[in-house]
Amino acid sequence: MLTPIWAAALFLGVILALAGGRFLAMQEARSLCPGQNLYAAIEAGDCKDAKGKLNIANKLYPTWGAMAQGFHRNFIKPEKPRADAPQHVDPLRSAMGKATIATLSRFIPGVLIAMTLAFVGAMLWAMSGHSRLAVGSFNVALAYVPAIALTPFFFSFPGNSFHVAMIAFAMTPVILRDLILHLSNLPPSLLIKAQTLHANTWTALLRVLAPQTLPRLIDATRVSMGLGWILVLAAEFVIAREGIGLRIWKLKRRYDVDNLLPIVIWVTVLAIAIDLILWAVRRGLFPWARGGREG
Amino acid sequence: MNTQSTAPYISIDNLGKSYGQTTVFEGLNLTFKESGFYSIIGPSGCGKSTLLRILLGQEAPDRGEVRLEGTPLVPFPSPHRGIVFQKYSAMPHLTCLGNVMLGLELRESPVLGRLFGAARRRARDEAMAWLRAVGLDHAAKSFPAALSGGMQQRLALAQSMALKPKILLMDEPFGALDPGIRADMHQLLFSLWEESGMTVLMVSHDLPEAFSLGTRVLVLDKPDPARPAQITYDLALKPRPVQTHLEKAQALAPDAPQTLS
Ligand SMILES: Nc1ncnc2c1ncn2[C@@H]1O[C@H](COP(=O)(O)OP(=O)(O)OP(=O)(O)O)[C@@H](O)[C@H]1O
Ligand SMILES: [Mg+2]
Repeated sequence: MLTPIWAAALFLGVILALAGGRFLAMQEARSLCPGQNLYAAIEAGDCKDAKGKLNIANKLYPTWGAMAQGFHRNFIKPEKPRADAPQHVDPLRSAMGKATIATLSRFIPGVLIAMTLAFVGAMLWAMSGHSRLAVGSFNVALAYVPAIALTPFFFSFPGNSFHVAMIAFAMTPVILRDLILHLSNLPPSLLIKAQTLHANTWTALLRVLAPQTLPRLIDATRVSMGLGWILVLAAEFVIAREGIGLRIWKLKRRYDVDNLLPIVIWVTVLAIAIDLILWAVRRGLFPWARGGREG
Repeated sequence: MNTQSTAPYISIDNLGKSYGQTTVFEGLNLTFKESGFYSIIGPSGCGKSTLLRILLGQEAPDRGEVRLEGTPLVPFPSPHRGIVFQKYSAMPHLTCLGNVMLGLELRESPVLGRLFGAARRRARDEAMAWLRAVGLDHAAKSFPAALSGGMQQRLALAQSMALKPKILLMDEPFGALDPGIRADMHQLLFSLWEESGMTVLMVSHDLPEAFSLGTRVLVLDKPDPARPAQITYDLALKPRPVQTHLEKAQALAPDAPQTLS
C-alpha cells in the first residue's frame, strides 16, 4: 500500500536526481571553460565543448517546465490535432492515451489469465496427492524459464495475443509457486477438521482450500505484477503497432528525458493504481483475511 | 440418560506406535464404554495427543488394533468422531454461523458443498440453535479471528456438536482459557454431554478439571523415556447425579453463571 508519505518520497527523489544531475553538468561545463563567465562566453560563441555539454544536460535533466510541456504534448493533446481546432484537448486520443489503452488491453488479460491458470494449477496440485513433489518441482523449473528468451515461439501468436501469452507464461508459475507454498503451510488440522465435518476431497477443495487460497492469489499477483510490467513493455519493444513500450522504444536513441520521464512516472502510477484496486478487491471480498497491507 | 452397556464401545488391543526410534506405545490395552466421559492426563510428551490422533483416524497404529463397536476403525477422520483442538479449530474464512452450518451443508450436499432454499434455511436455523446453546448467537456474523479464545472454543464445540458425533475427542480444549471462562466451558460441555449421551475423551493438564468432569480418569505416564507409555492409574469415579458435577464445577469458580447464555 502506497501511503502519501511514500508518494512524496518518490517525487522528492525525482526532483533531487534531476537537480543533482543538472548541478553536476554545470560543474563539468564550468571546468571546460575555466576563468570565464560561462553564459557570457557561450553567448559570445566561445567554449563550444561546454555549450554542447549544457545542451545535453538540458535534455537529460529537464526542468519541470520542460517536463510539463512534454506531459502536455504526450498525454493531453490529441496525437493528430484537428485542423480546425488545433488547441483541442483529448487525453484519450493523445499519444500516450492510445498507447496506454493498447498496453492495458494486453496487460490486464495477461494478468487475469495468469491468475486463473495459477489458481487452477494450485487446486490441481492440492488434489495431486503423491505427485505433488513432481508437479511442484516442475513448476519451479518453469518459473525460472526466461520468458523473453522464448520470443521466437511467441511470434506464432498473432497480434495482441503475443504479448498476452508472454505475460501469462511468465507470471503463472511465479504465482502458482507462491500458492503452493501457501497451501503446504496451511495447518493440517483444517483439513482434518473438514473431514470430521463430512467433507470429501472435492468439497474440502471447494469449501475450505479454495476460499482460503483466493486472498493469497491476489497477494501473489500483486507481488509478481512487476514481472508482468517488465514483460509487456519488453514485448512491445520487440513487436507492436501501438503501446507504452513502443513509445519508450522510440525514444531510446535520443536524449529525450522531458518526454520519457512523464511516461516513466505514468507507468509507475498506473501500476500502483492496479495494485490498489487488487488490494481493495481483496479487502472487499475477503474481510476475514488479515494482512495485504504494508506499512 | 447414560445407558451404560456392558460390551466395550471402543477397544484398543495391543496397540503399538513408534516414530522412528521413539516408541510411544507398545502393547497398550484399553477399553471405553459408551456414553462415558473419559479424562486422560499425563506428563508432556507421554503420547496423549498421539492416542487421540489414532482414535481420530488421523494416524494409523503400527501394531495392534482399535475397534469401534467391534468393527476396526476406519483409518481416516470421519464425522462419527468430532474433534476440538487446543486452538484453531474453526475455519477462518467462515463466520460463526457459516462454521456451524458447514458440517450440515457438507453432510447433505456432497457435490456442491452448499445448500439452497428451504434446505439452507433449515441448516441455518439448526446452526443458530447451536450457537444459542453455546451463547454465541450474538456473534453469528463475526469471523473466528474476531472472537476471544473462550468464544473460539465454544464455536469449535458447537461446530462439532451440530453433527451429533458419537465420540467427541478433545485435546486440551480449555488449556488457553482463564479459570472463570474455563468453569463456564465445563458447565457447557457437561450439559451437552449429558443431553447427547455421546462418548467424550478429553486430554487435559488440569487435574481438577479431569476429576470434576470425568466418569473415569486415566493417567498415562512414561516414567522411562526409552520405554513406551503406560496407563499408570485408571480411576473409575462413582457415577454421580448431575447435581454433584455441577456443584463441583461451581465450587471451582463460585461466581460462574448458573445457567448458559
Ligand atoms: N509426528 C511426529 N514425529 C516424530 N515424533 C513424534 C510425532 N508426534 C509425536 N511424536 C513423539 O511422540 C511422543 C508423544 O507425543 P504427543 O504429542 O502424543 O505427547 P503429548 O502427551 O500430547 O504431550 P503434550 O502434553 O505436551 O501435548 C513425543 O515424544 C513426541 O516427540
Ligand atoms: Mg499433546
